[in-house]
Amino acid sequence: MKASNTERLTPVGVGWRSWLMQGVLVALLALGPERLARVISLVTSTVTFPLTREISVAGNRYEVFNLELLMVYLIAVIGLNLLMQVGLLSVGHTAPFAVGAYFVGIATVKYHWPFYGALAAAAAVTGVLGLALGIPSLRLGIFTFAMVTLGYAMVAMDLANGWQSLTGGGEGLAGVTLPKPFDTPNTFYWLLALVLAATYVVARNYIRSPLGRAAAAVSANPVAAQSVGINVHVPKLRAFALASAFAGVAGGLYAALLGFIAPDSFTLDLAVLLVLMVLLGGGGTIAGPIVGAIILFRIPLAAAKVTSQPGQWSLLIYGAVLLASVHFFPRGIMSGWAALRRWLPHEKAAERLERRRPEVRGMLERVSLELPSVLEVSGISKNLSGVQALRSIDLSLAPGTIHALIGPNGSGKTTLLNIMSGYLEPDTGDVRLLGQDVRHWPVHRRARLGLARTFQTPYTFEDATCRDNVLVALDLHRRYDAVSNVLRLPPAFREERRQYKRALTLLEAVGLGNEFTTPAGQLAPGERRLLELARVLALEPKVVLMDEPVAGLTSHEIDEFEGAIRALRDAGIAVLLVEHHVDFVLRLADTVTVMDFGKVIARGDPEKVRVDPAVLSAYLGQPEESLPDELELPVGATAVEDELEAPFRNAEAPAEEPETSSSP
Amino acid sequence: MQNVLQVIIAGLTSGAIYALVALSYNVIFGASGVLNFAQGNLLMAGTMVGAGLYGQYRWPVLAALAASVAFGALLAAVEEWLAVRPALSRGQGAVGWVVATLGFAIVLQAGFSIVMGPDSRAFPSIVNEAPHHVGGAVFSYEQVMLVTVALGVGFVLDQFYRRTRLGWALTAIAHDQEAAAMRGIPVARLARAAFALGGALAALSGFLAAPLIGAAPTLGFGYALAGFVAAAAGGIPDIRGAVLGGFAVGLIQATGVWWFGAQYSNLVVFGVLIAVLSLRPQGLLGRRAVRMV
Repeated sequence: MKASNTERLTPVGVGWRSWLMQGVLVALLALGPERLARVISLVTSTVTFPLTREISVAGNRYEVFNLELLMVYLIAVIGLNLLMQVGLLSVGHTAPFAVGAYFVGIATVKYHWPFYGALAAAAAVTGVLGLALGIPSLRLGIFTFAMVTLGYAMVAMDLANGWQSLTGGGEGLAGVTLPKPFDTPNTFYWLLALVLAATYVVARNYIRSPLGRAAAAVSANPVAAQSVGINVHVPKLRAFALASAFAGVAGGLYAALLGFIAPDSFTLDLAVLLVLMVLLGGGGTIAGPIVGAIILFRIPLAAAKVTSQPGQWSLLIYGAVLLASVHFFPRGIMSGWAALRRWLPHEKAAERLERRRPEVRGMLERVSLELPSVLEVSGISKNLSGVQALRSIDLSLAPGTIHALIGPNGSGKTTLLNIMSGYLEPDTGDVRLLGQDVRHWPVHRRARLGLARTFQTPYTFEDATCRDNVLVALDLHRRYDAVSNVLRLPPAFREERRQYKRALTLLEAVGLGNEFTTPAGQLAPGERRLLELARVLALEPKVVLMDEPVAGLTSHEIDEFEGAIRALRDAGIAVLLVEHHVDFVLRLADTVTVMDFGKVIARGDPEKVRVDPAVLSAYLGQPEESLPDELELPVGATAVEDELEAPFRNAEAPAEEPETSSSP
Repeated sequence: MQNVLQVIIAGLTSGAIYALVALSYNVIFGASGVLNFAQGNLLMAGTMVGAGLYGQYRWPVLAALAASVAFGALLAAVEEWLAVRPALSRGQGAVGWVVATLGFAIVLQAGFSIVMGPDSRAFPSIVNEAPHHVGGAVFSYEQVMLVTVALGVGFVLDQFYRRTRLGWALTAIAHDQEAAAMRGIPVARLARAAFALGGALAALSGFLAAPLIGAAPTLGFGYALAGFVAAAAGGIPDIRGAVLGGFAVGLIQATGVWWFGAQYSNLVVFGVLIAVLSLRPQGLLGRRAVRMV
């Protein structure tokens, strides 16, 4: 057990598997241009064998050139992968690639800059352009962003064609030379190998770092990502800037490799090819883009051999593969591993249940606040497309208490929760968190101040392991900056180890210690709630809002949860509990607020609320009759419940262009 | 392009095409929640089928027009069945349908250029009348027709969404697919019908514009972009907004081309897109949607 724990606590990317993979890559690169060209040409020409009926195993000039071209593409593709990891698609990644190529070409040929200076400047220029375009376009959905990248590519081509004095127009720009000391085709390989290795390491560390975790979280579930304090725009912007800079470097190397650049080199087919290389391999994985690039690399060359319209035939193939990807390998072929592992025998959720013993009491730092109320709303009204969901609601949460919010379906409880946590802005009224006016604050800022929440349907990052689900929240309290994390400087790395330990401790506390590396998507519903709880604990919150935390749990699980919620209170945290399970609520709560039709109809201690005539009438429609011990909701409540949940469903709905959409 | 009137005529003409493409985006988006990457290539299909039937095989113009429009509708319905529905039903989120419609768009472009050749084709004029001269500017019947059709289609769609039961059903879907389905609206069927209508509209605009813009397998993505800019400027999925946005983008582009030269027409459209996204991301007529998460 000890040994396995040590291994589990080693941050990803330094374990023996990872060293093995890197060893193989280094060994491959160390083969040198001619021998590696033989290997790569064998692999790539095997893929295109059905088209060309020939297999090439050569280390000649032509194949060395092909290898070097592949390496240039790989640099761009590894960057593009970072963009797709955050859930975005660039249809015009040739744009930063072309900008980099032209920048290096013009700077070295016309202004006689040294090559390396020009290359670094090209990375900076394309990165900044990425930022500049990203800021307006990344606020909207993926389609808008894809259109912006398409436009970027069109404009770049128009400028390359039109600005003749600078770019040479349609005739292109000749005379870019290989830089010393890499000034022969075979030595240039070593420069490419160096840059490629650096690119790979940066991308790998990025994906495994807090930055990559945040990016994956934003892609998997933006709503939950906000709730752990992530500003969803930042990872997107960062990824686009990085991807652009990588493409800029690749473009600069491309200019040197070919010695000549023209607008024709940066066509739509190339842009689509780059996207496809990532998609085929699997966006967001580390090896995926490399595998995808090697598989697809030779298709244009093969098409050129067998038809007179190579560009069109390869486009046709790309289009077909894109369509097929949606049907057959939406997450790329590298995700086949994960699918395979799901088929292998593994412990079932029910068996795991037996062993679980949550105990979160020791986990919590005591929160001591002098404030009378941690979170306070007053005069909140909200109209949701014509329905007055809330009318002048006041509510105040004191530290170290459990406040239950109950009411029939459709009474506005979840809407109020959304307003408190920042997913909705109220029409009127104030929201104060720790004494600060947070009414206009976005979700992530409130989370950083100490507001945590759980969701009606547990929101986890499904593809990520339980460990990463908790780490994403722990990253909120990280001390070291992005650069030291990506470079894996020792202090940042030690912190990462500490965070791993803390994540394991938290998962053990909620009873999921054995699921440290299980993807969240494989957990049973009850376990997801526990995972959400661990994520909340990781935030070290001052207030926790829980939306029906025990819905769908077994009575055994409810007991487990009850202990956890008490532990939160005893640690001085203010807890707001929205719950239908009235028995549970009355057992736990210090104060109960009852809502109906968007208004508060009763408030007080559980015993008082229990016999309040207004409450009885709202729940049972039978005034003046005492409540039965086991209070159940009226039958038929589920349909309304769905509507309550509807606001959250929009976040996952396929059509995610909320800012431009409106109802006519 | 020396005089202002000529610039305005050019702007209104291309604006009409953009408005029609924007309308077709909106029709599809409203019913399915999908923005179709292949919209420009469906327009391209209209030009190419028209160039084949009307230009090459000399079909009567109305028959060729009807066939192009029908073919556009068919292609889009096939796209919905082959690409969009599977992506949506597999729960891949927006990446799924963007990839799928992009794949379909590329297949269309490559397919047409393999079958009919990659080169641009001239498209004979539809109305055999001499151009008109007004105050030093020239315009043709085709241009008048395009503008009229854009306004007419916009008007009819606007009335359709506002006054008919089917229109209300589609509005309900645009508002909340799940709630609409629960109230018995056949969401899936209407989505496919909307795709067909959107495809028909795109092909129609392609056929009518072809005498002015020619027919070429590669012209799709340019119109996909300009049409999207028009739709975004108007406020997706607002019908009047699409018409307004289309003419606005056309006029701005014509003015930009007049000042800077034809090679910068994409730059101008792109500039409009960035400006809209920065200043008014919900579009001219779009309400800022309640961001519910």
